[in-house]
Amino acid sequence: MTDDEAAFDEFLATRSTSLLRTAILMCGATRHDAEDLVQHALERVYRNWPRIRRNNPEAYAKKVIVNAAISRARRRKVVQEIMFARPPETAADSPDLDLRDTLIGELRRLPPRMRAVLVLRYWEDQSEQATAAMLGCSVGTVKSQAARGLAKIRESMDVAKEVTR
Amino acid sequence: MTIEDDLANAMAAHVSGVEAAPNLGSTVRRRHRAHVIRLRVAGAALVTAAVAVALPAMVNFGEPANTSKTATGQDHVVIRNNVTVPDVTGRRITEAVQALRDVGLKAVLSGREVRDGKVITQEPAAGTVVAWGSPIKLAQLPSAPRPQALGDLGDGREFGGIRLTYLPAGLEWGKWSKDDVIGTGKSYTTSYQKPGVPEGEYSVQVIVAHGSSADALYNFMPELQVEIVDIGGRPARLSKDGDSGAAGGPSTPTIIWKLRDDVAVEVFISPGYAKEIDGLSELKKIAEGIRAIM
Repeated sequence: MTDDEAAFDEFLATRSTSLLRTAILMCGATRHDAEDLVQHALERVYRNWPRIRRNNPEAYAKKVIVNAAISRARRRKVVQEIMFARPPETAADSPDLDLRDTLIGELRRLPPRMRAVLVLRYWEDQSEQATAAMLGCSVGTVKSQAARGLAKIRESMDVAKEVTR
Repeated sequence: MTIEDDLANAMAAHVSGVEAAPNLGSTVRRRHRAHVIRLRVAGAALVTAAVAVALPAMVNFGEPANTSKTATGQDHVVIRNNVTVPDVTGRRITEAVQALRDVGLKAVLSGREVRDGKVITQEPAAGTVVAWGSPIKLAQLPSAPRPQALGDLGDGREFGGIRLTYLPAGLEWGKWSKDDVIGTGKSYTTSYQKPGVPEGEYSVQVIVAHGSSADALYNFMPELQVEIVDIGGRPARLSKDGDSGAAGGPSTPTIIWKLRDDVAVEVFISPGYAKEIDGLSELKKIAEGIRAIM
């Protein structure tokens, strides 16, 4: 196995789970779609590996995932069924569970770019600048998309509380 | 807790049980090969793979299922019935192999190895009566990796509703074409190459996308260092590397624009060929020479 191949395998071993988690949150669809997205991104990483291996391949992969998730979601414009079950180790009677499910459900309902902003900012803990760079937009757009995304989620949560009261 | 914290916690909990599959590396490499075949039509070596079909009766040679025993007066002679070859063209390889096995014939694959491609030809033809256990040659060519979605295009300059009036000197049609390359609408691609290059190489490739596919093609923007140029009064994204995603470095010069509101065209030059010519100015010339013929 060449040095490049070995380095690519090491990259996969250390980074692929994190990429898959981001993709699942990002694409708001089934796990199958997310895996497809990650494979798509990693195939591109692999294709350009000799060129990018020393130049932050994870950021490259993430950018491919983000762009592909957004364009794919726009292309489909279909709200996908929530197929990804809750993690098995979460206790079924956890009081936070309903809140979490509702939040994730609201996250899925957002437009793809807005969802991407929230995932990058609050799941990946990326700065506004880094998020803007990854999405290819201005810092101002990141700020406004994040604020509007959070406001939409908050609004829906309030409505849900009203209904269940 | 703020809504930001709630959301972060919910996201963390949502994916906490997710782990990437251990065979991801081989999956990615397989996809890479598929990609190379699909878009670049890499020169895959011709293989002839004989499928080891375990014929039940050959294993169980003494007592095959569909034999008849005829008394000759002295001994029992085993006579295998002849079999009429079924028509398996157009079916997937796995189905075809199973169908042949069901009537007691052996499938032999020839042509390029394609994972579960469709059978294009069979030999002997359907309806022929052959001895039980005979080999039937199945060919998958040319379903892939050299797809021929649009058939013989002559000089190849007219396809998918466009005509190329300019190509760099010395290029000829790559003699393949594919449809459904992107999105849900209609899309087509083919390529042009220098004569005598290894099969599967391309020098210039063109993708045309109509309707909803036009947006899918146009809106997918992996290019770096994009320069906006004017092509027939419409803005076109001209890039030194349209294949780059987030990475830098010159690789595949690419131009993409909308020929009409509902037709997007992407032209790119292979990294190897780009070293021989002035990729960006040739791309512009090719783009300016493309006409809609619908």
